[in-house]
Amino acid sequence: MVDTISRIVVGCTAFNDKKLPILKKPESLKAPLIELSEIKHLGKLNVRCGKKNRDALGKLIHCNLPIQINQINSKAGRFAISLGPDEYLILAEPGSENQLEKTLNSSDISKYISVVNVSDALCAIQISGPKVRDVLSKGCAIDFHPDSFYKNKAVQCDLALANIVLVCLEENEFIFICRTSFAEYILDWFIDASYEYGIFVSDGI
Amino acid sequence: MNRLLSHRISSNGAVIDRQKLVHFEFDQKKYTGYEGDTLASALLAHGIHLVGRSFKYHRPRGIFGSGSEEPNALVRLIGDKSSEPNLRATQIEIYDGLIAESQNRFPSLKIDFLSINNVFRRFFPAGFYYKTFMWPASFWMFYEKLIRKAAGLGKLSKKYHRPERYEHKYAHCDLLVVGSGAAGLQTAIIAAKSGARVVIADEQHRFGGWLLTDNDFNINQIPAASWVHETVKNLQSAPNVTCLSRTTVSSMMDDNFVIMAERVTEHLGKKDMLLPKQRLWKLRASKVILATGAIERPLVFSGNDLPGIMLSSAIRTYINRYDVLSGRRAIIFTNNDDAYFTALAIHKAGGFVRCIVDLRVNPKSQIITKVRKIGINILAGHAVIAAHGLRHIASVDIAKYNSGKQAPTSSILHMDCNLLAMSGGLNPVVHLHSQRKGKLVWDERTSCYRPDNKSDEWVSVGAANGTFELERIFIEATKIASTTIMKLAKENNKIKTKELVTVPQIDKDKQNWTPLPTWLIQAGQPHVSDKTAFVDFQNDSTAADIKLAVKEGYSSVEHVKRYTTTGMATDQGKTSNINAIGILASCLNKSIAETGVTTFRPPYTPVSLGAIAGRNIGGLFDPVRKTRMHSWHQSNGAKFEHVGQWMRAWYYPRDGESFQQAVNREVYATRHYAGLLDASTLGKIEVKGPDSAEFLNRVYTNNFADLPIGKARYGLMLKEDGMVFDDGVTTRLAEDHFYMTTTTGGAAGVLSWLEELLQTEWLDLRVYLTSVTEQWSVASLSGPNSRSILTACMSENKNITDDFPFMTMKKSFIAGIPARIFRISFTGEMAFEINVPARYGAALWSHLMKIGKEFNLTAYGTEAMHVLRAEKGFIIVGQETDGTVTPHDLDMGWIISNKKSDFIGKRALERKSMNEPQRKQLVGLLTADPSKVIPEGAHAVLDPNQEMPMEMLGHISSSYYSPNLKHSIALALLKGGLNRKGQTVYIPMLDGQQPIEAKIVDPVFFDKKGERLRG
Amino acid sequence: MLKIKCPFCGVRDESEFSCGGEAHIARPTTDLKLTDKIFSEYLFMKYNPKGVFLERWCHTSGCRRWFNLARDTVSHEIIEIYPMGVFPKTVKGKKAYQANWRRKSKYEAVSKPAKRTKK
Repeated sequence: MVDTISRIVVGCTAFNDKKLPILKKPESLKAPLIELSEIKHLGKLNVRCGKKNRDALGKLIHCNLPIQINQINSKAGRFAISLGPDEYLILAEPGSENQLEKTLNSSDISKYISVVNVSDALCAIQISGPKVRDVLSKGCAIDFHPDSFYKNKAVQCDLALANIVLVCLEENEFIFICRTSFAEYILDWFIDASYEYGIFVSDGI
Repeated sequence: MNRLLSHRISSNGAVIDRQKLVHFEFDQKKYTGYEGDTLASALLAHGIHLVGRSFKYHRPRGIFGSGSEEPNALVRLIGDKSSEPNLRATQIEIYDGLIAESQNRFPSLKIDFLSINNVFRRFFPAGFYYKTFMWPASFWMFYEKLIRKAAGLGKLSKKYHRPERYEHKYAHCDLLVVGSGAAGLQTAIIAAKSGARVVIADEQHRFGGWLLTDNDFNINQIPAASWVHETVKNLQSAPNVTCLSRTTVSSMMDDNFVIMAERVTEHLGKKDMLLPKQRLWKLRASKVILATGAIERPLVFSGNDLPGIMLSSAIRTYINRYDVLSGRRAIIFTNNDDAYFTALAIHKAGGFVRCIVDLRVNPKSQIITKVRKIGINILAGHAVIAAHGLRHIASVDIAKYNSGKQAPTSSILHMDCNLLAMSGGLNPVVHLHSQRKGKLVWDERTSCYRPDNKSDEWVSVGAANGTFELERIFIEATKIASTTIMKLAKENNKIKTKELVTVPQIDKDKQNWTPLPTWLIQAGQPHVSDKTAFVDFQNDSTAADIKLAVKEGYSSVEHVKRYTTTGMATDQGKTSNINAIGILASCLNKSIAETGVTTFRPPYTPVSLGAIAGRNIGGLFDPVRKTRMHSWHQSNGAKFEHVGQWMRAWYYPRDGESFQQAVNREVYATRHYAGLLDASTLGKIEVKGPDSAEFLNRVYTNNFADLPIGKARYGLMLKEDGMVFDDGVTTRLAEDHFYMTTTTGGAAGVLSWLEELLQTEWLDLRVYLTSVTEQWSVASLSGPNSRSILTACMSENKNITDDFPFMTMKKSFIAGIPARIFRISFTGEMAFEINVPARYGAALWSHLMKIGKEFNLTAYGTEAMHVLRAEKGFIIVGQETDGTVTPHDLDMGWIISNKKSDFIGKRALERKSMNEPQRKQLVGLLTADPSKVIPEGAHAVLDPNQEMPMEMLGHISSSYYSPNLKHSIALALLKGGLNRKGQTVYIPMLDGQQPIEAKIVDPVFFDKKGERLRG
Repeated sequence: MLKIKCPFCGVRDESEFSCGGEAHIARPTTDLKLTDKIFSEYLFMKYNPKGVFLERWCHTSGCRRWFNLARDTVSHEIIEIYPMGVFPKTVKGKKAYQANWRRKSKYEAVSKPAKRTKK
């Protein structure tokens, strides 16, 4: 029984109803300048904790929680993104989130923190390419100048009509996290906004 | 040379390419021009002045200006699939295949039937619209149609789908320079050297501003044109500078949030381009330098709107930029030195300047001497008191003029001409300054309103600042650029201040910038009327209108503006405002400074609606959110309805079923066998922390502190005013951990409200809230067979369903999927809400449908859900409630705990008015005719035969046909309804239909004892 | 559109925020036994001054945190941004707090709002 289900589950991601891959580009271009893909089934935990327990929590996660807001820390495949003064989003390798949730919820500090599995509520999408900042600036009011949006910076903001968490991994490489039900809208938006640059949407990682 | 191009002169225009011929069409006639021409310059090259009819009187109007100030030459561009009205011919660059037509004329420009209005001008005085509105209302219906036909500007494209792309773009910079004339270029180049992020924008297609028109001198020992070329090249190659031509800065708002419309490919007229037609920039600039230049003022005299009468600066622009001489027999009418440069230009271009009529009695300067030497006749201390002509200027009347009016004894000089250049001084373009609430000061020396320049965030420079002499403009621009850079450097250490800054040196004929302010040419002749002395050309308001307004008691500049509509057209009075103020001031015997000035508001020039919408159109208009079961619904023929942004399965019609048939079948199946609803869109919030129970106690009306672990409870949430805000079931997962559900539409609002309470009201409560709406997919399994289906689906612990009481929660596995199963019901049947992590949502649904087949499981949509809950009298927040309904009004007093000392809304519910017996209260209605379904939203009355307006008893909030009762049922909120059970009410219908009769009953129509629910 | 400096996320556009109206209105507890009239001062009456106004804002599209803000309703100048549960520190902010009619209202006299200095 479990087997029959899991086969259905594998295909069930944020871009549920889209036929991937998608390639759209102007004829004049050899290759599209934007690439987009979902990072499927990435573990995501929303963690709430005050300053007192921040370091202890970091140890349990094996990745320190950032002290500054709008920052990410990463270690051993885990990312900790600060979302607010006492709120963090932990990205963990697919499948590890349930164990991590259990570990945190059975720890000494579990009383003072909140750990909620949001792996399926949110989806992570990677976007890259030489024109990625230009495309983002068509729908997002954040300053994308490399001097002000640099590596390891994260912001929560609006992209067109959706709310996202945007993380800069490299100069031309970003990850954003949004509510799953907005993923299709955002994909449509990116395909449209990349009109002059061309876009390749792969089936995801 | 083609005879039709006879208005082209032989010199080499600065901005057109004489090698590239362009073909275009205007009013069904084919013409040619050159690349770089505007529609206006190309038409003038063919001797065409007449391009439109005026707004009110349908008077013939010609090209008047040369840029965004143009009030007359509004045309419509015709595209393949759409058209765009009200574009200024002076700003449209021509391209091969361009098709334009004139507006406001019927049937053609030369013969306009509606110009009859011109004859009946006395019926359209100032305040015409206000006066007409005062007539008996019944007359208005008749007038409206006529006015709508005659008035207005242009016509909209009837096709709402535009094939062109309009895009939005956000940007940030340290410094925005608006305008690329001498002042703009000088400030931008200094800023560029500092390393600051600079954006320079200009509405024209080429940088240079006024230096494109006047450039027969040297800057720093090189020709002015070369200096412009070099400077622009340097700006374009600087990595920290963004140069935006064809970009109109239309609005400047708080904290230098600037909206700019860039015409990216509009001027190319090509299809299938990668770039958008227009790009709307939303720019945030630390500092803004406004180098927006100045606009020439017309002079106000009788007949001043005839085609062939143009702004002096425009005539010079057409000669110097486009090689177009707008007329060969010219008269210049001026109150300042600048028009003498136009006289020189016309003379050089081979035109004949008959005379210069100068209002000043004894004008003197370097340039005047030069003009006099050429032999041009100067009539100092004279005025043009009237212009004559049918569809073009033919002659003028000139008379001696002093002390603000025609000299009494003077004889009239008649002079023929086909071009009149007028110059009444310059108005700095202060629009953006004014939009930011910047104040204006009246400058006596230059007789203009200039910005007070008191802000730290933006500054005006050059002509925009009332500095009109080039050598002074360069000094000022250099100084202001340096100070601005210093300020920026304080905030950003990457900006360097130590750059060598020099003021460009020029060798230009000196002019004396002291115009003689003259607002209205007062003729002493009885036959010369100021009823044709136009102030606002676009809205057709005249000096006589302003005088009339004053006579009727208007004295405030803001009132006169609205009463006469002066300055309220699409050009926002760019050429008319100051003249209007001047005339008003003299009528009131006040100075201009005392009279004051009206406020300019965004946008500077109209912005296309397409640009405002950007790409938020079609499929991107609003995000559509789908559940994980969506594909199943779709492939099983579901019809969908939008609930907020969510798309929910509404009903699932099977072969040929009507809406009602499908809903009836789904409702019947759920009551008799089992039904499955996709309830994934319900809002879900995890509430965690030691004070969670206390928190829920405060936000719900009923008690949650005593809720045992594993149990669920229905809760009602009020706002502080005691009105129902949301409802849902909350389950205790652990001592300090709850799982709350909200309505679909209320999810975001509830989370925000709860966060607000925690962060602003109860800072001492240790509670964390996390939205998990999309973490869980929810299938609601309902009906007598639901337990059997659930048992069959369990992959382990099949026996847990044996002991699964109402309002409890169990965790288990369904087909191997970890699930939270809640025994709760919104249908009144035994029901289980199965929550699984969303990735398994689709799998769960398919599995349940497969296993459920032998139990007659039917998928039902939101419509059947509504019927099922209405049969039980369950409310829906937002349908039975509208923010004015208390729990008592819903007869839900039972849910209000009287043990709790406090909860949100408790005190408000105790207010006297909340217990008023005549409040609208929730009741059920059964129609006399069981098949008649009352329309939702209809109103009920006690006596259908009473006179109108009838006394309303209340409204119908929900109404359906119940297949289980075989009867139409409805829920209604009626005044004092709880005490009216058994009474008969009537629902009057539209269109002469008979009122529907109904009996007031208890809102629970089905299984009143709730036996099926708990069974 | 204003620029607002979220105490946590930094300077962002006004469109990312929502305004929650007047600040420093203490919610009365039911044990105060307020009359309907005095309670209605709390429930319905809101201040709308010309000049400096103390209001609550939330960074809705960002960190979803609430904070207080002193803003001039004429010039839109933001004078001070300060956390929930504390009082303004600037001279203008303090003055605006005192100038509010609510300070002299019957409601505040009766309710003596609990000093919320907790951070």
